Amino acid sequence: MIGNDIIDLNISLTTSKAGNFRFLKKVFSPKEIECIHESECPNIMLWEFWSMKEAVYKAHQRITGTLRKLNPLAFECSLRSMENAGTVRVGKKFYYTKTEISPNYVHSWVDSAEILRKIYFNKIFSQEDLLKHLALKLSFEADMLRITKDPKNIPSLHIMGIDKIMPFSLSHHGHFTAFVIPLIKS
Amino acid sequence: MNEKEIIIRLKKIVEPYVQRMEGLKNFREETDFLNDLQINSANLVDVVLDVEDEFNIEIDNDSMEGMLTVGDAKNIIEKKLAN
Repeated sequence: MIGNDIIDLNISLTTSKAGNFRFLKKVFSPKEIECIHESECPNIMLWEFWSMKEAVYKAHQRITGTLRKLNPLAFECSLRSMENAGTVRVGKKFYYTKTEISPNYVHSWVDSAEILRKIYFNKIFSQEDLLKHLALKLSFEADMLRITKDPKNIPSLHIMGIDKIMPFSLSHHGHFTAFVIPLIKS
Repeated sequence: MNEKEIIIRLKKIVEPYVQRMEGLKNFREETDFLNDLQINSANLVDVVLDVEDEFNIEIDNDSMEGMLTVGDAKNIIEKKLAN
């Protein structure tokens, strides 16, 4: 299960969404709104929930093949007692997530056993740069790697030569780029 | 309000959220908010709120779900205005 989402707080904290009830009502359940308002940092909590929803949306869409939708209310977040761990319910399905909160970003990803997660701070980050980084991390030559997208815009990493296609989740926001990819088992 | 007018007003609303400016040059019904204009999904909720204000309508969650292209938005606006 692969899905991740990064939020650049230098952009997202410029407006206080936690005080915008119309926004809250379109995105969060009454329970989530309560949790946001009871939090010490309501706006951080809000973006934590949002990134959890987005990360799970990506994983869920990859698994179920459902059409794209703007339906954040269908993804219900709660926090687990472990630090930075959450659960997102979609209908009858539950996904476990993890979130890293730094002063500059919030990064959530669907928690599964063996993944490689990486965050880059960058002003300009081309696909070529990304492939170079990925190649280094995965010990392949950059020209062996291609990022392909299916008609629903879901990306995969294609490793030419050994003809392997891996699920790949990429997220950009502001000055940050993040990805998660399963670790290759040899 | 005719279709053209709706689309012109819609373009004004989305402009501040667009990250891929080229996408605006060819702003038409097929234009996809996320893929062509690279509006991020949190900002797409802002677009929905701005559309509600601009046209004085309420966009329910079922309608919001399907608001992914300029044409989708135009159809929803037309439907709500007719009610």
